[in-house]
Amino acid sequence: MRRDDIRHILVIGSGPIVIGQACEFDYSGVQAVRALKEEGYEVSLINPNPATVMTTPGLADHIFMEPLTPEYIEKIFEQAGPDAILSTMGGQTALNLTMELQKRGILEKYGVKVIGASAEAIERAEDRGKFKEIMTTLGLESAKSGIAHSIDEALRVKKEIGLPLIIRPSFTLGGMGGAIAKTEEEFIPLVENALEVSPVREILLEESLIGWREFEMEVMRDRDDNAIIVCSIENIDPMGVHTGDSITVAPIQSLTDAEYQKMRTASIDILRAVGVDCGGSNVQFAISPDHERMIVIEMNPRVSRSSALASKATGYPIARISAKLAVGYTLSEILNEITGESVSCFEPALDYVAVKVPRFELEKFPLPASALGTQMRSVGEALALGRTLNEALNKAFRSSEQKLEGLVELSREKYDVELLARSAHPMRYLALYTLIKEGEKDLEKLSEETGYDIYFLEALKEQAELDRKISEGLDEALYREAKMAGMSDRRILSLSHLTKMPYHMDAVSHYVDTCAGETKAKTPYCYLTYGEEDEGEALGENAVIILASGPNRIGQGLEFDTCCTLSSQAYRRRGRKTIMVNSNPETVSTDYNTSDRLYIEPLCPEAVLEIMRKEKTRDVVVQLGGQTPLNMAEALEKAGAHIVGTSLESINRTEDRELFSNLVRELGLRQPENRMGHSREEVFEKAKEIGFPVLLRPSFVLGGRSMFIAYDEESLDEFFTKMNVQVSKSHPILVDQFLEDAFEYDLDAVSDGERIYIGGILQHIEAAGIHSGDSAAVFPPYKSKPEILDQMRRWTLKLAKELKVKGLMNIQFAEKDGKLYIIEVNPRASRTVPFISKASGVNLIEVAVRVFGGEDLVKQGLLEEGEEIREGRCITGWAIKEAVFSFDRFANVDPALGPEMRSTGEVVGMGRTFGEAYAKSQAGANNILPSRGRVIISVNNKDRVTIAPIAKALQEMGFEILATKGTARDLFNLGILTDVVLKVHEGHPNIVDYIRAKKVDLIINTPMGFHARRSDDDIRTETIRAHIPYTTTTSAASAAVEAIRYIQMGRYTVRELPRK
Amino acid sequence: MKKAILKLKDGKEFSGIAFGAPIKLECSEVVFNTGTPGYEEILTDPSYKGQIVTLTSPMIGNYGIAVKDGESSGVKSTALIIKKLYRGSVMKGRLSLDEYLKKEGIPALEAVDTRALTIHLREHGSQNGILFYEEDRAEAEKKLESYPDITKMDLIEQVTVTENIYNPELGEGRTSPPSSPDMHFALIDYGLKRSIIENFYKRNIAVTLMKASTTAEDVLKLSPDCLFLSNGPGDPSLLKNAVALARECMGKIPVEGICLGHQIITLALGGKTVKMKFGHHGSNQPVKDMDTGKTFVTAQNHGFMSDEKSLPGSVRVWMRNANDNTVEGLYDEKKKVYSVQFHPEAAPGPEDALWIFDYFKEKAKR
Repeated sequence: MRRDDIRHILVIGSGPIVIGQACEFDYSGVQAVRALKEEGYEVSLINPNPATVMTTPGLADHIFMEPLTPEYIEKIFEQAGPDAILSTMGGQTALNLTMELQKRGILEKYGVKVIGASAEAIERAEDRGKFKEIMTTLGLESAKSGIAHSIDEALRVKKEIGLPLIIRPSFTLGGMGGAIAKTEEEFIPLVENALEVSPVREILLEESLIGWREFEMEVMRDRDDNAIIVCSIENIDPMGVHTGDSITVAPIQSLTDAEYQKMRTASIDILRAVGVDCGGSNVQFAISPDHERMIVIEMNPRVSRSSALASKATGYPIARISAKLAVGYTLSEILNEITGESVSCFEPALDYVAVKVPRFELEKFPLPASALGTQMRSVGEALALGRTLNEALNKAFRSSEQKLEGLVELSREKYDVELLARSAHPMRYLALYTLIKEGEKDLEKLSEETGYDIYFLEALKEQAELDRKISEGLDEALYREAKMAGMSDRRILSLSHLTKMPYHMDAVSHYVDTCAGETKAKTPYCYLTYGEEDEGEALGENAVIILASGPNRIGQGLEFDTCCTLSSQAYRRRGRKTIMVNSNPETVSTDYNTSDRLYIEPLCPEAVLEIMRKEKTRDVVVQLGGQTPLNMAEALEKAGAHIVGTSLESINRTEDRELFSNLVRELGLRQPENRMGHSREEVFEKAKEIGFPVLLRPSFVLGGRSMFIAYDEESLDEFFTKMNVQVSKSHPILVDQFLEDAFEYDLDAVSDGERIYIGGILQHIEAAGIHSGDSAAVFPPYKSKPEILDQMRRWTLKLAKELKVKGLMNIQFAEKDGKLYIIEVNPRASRTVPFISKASGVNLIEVAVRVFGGEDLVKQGLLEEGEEIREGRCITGWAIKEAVFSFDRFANVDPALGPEMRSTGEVVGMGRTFGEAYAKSQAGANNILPSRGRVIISVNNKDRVTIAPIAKALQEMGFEILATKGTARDLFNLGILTDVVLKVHEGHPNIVDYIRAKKVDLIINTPMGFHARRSDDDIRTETIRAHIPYTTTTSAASAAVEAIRYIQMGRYTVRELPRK
Repeated sequence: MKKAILKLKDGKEFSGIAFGAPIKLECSEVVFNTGTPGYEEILTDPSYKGQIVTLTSPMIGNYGIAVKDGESSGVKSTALIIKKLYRGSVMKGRLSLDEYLKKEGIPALEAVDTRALTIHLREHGSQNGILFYEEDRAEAEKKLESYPDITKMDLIEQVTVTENIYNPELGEGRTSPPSSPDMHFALIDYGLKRSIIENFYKRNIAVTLMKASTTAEDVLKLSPDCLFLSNGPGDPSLLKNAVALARECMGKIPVEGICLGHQIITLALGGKTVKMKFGHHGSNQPVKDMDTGKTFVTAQNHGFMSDEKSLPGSVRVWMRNANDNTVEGLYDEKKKVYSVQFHPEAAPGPEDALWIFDYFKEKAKR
């Protein structure tokens, strides 16, 4: 029964995307908010992440894009008056925040009840010691372990259990700070690090189960003690790799019913004992290779990445049901919406196999061979469904968009296959495939050595066998077999040595119905397969296919998913049917009620064309899902698709470097000098022609991969030698004039081909050279001349008219010495569209969809007749977007910013003043600026002049300033006296000593350039580890001064987004 | 790899690749089971006697056959229909599914569009079918044409014990009979799953396993604490002897049952049973205890059910299926009669209803 003792519920979001906490929490949050609204509750939402669907006006009653700190939440309690908070939808962030609110007595003060998981249940599940005790009382086995709060205690535990040991800090997300200590030497440093990252300085040292099999159960339990397993998941990768980094399959494949039921019963017993009584949890198990021992690893008393995956793998909406349970319902009171007939108190039965393949950013965050461990490193994941394991595996690898055309052998030139086969590495399963395909016969030995269940090695053998037959000669029967095994035409073609595929087989669709066909499905969630009966009826020409963005990666993630989701809603409001295609299980776009039909399929032309044929429609939207769909546009149009909005020809004119240069010239605009080098010598030559500094990059860029700024010939040389860059006729390197210290801008607009509506112009805080996705950006521009802004508007209009842009366009500009340059034009939605839409109060996606439907901007009421340009305004005055990084996951990555995008997420700070907005953006990014204390300044020569007024202001605001020798000397010469702190190599106590002792409250440290990297690397990595706020540019430091001024006023203001 | 065909009575055909033992042109009712693991338990469940089982779970044979997990002495279903057979190696001490079926003489078909078959059975109801190689088509079709409906076949004789046995041993890896039992049940074998006996042993209950032809007199002579009617295959309304046995014992000793036993009890109480369109076969059926309001997930395998309207007023509907509201359990306190339609012993399936055995024991106490 619905709880009537609560009226108004605050849902806590998970904040910015970081590794281990991504858009799955947008998905769960959206489901929760909808479920609660349906029940008639007033719903408030706090989440400073502007890229989310959940912060779309109209979804919750009150939306606050404010920092996730107790202070701001308290303010919301005061202002909006919720009487309950839902703690389980915002990942570890929301759980920790709930515990903090409880500890500080804030919940009690405002009479706010915790729903979802109680503080006690969270404590029991998260506190490793308590959890272990509970396992013992349940008669379940957990790994031998000990708790330590200090190095001495850790050494005692090591003596008892012996190495290798798994080290896990308590209360961290995504296994952060976790590691495996195999040797005596690495033990103490790993323990130190783990103690550091645990907010309670507590770690668990555990017997190593490396090489065991790993399993997960997604469990729901209600207040009447009804409990169900929504989904069982088997990790194909053995223990020792974080489940988020593992290839997984649902349901469990290799356990007998007796083994499975033992695990199932244990999961339910655990939820009962921990006290999860109105929601979902994830329980993880390990089973020894001989299946003799079953060990409970851990449980998460909340929705999680795994539960989002389980929802998409089964069709069972865990977050939605969890929210209903949280407000008092029982499982048997809730209808299963997928069937519309059965109740939610049942266990989904699957007649397909669901495989998840994680996606890594090996180019941006290179990993040594054995780098995977207890800490999650992947940035995204792809899900594929197939009728057989191999079909799902082949589809999932293709879906991961890592240039893997299914189960494929690794190139021996590129990889040390033997090493990878025995290391925890993302390419490990494919390394095993390579060995098997090359003739390895002894699968039992391979299984013993690697910990992979023989079942999953046999799957590889079967694929290798099929590959071999195809290479020996393809016939139609074999082609059919290959299609049914999930192989792409492209892969079959390359194996068969044919140039043109002589065969074709139509794909069919199956519905995900939660019940293996037992009841007819009412919701439209499908996948494609081959050689079986087709179930779907075509939606017909009224339907439009929206191509989403696939697995999250750096530079292409949640923002684009939000664009796709909002476009589906906009289309449906206008009476058109929508078909969403995506492979990313974490997203809202793959929720079963976002579109009229959903296909979980790899984002490749082959699948999209089959969907077009099946659905009997040609309209395809490619401009909302980032670069992935855009790259398919040509292949799709050639095969008969109608690309909605801006034409393919125009897309090509902006994407192709030469065409684009011509366009810029024809329109009389300006872009930085640019050349192309096809050999090392030519690159040098062109660089000299343009003049240093130059920006080097490959064509067709996504997120700025392998970009580099060379200041002179020497550093250009280093680019080739140290960064292992290859250049050839077919892989030229682009050489651009680099506009040092230029101001950069992002402009997002919608055009109907004749006029433009500019959502807003963003000015970057960091100067050119820092990737736009990594830079903080201010809306509206905070220091620029009106005439420059005017020029941007006029240029945008020119481009829009010339290209006949229909829909969204994004332009990046740079301004140096009063001159405007176009850096790039993207004829598609950009990362900043959701942010601009919310900050300006105009849903640009909706505007674009209306343009697609033929409603020009005048008809939409955005422009007056005869007007050509209009522009949005920031609704609060100032909105600042700050990039958020996951550097704390990669101990050895330098957090200094550069032309390569490396941020994983973003937050917004909104305020009446610049200071307020910036302070909030930093707090949201968990870079909480101090109001007093000690600042250390260490900047490069170039920045010494710019830093002076900043140092002075900080001094006047009461901060004590320490500077490194050179900085201190130059500041002194500029009339500012500071104390001197030693650099690392200068002795003790040095900067790092201060950082480690936490005797510093803010660090301003700009990179010293390519040559002096080592010493300042240490400063920045230590700073991150110590959680001390820092800035790596002087412009950010200057913004920080404004923010500190705001903070010193001691007010926390929360601003509700205007309702729609 | 030889191709073969499954043909249904209504004419629909499904092709696949034969494995297991050679096809013997045997007709049977075709049903589907939606459980995920548990093919070994399903194959050996005597309730599937006279049925061709389709598994909706697509990957089958993955962990081989452990033999000790079997629910009776061998495969009871006529044939097995699946999407994909695992042909790789299995753990030491286990047999591969293909080897096992060959040994048991059971034919099977893989590479079948089991989803289309399931949907067909859902839409058109369970019905007879036959497996054959193309060359045997004419003979197979003739057989299928004349083969009787399951409602006309007494299958019990083929699965019941031939001799009454006190406390039978259940085999390696299974619970032994209690040495000093505190109760004794007369357990009628209509095609019993051994997990039912095991659950009695675990609760310190001795059993006398008795033939299906047992009479009330035979039972009462043993003065057991309870008459317990097992699960089993086929249409309960054909089992006149069983119904009489139950009716005659009612009021004298507690009478309890599972699945077919529950249906026999329904008939003995004066109610009726009806055939369901495609039944409940799987490991995910939610059942609600009407007395406590609690819902739990159960293993089920039945094509017939109690007709609620026909139940006399003294009988209370104890359990209901939370999806379709059908009767899943009943009792008559006065007569000390208790029964459930689902399988509390699971095997395969969730163990959430094991408490029913405690309840059965409690209710059988004098």
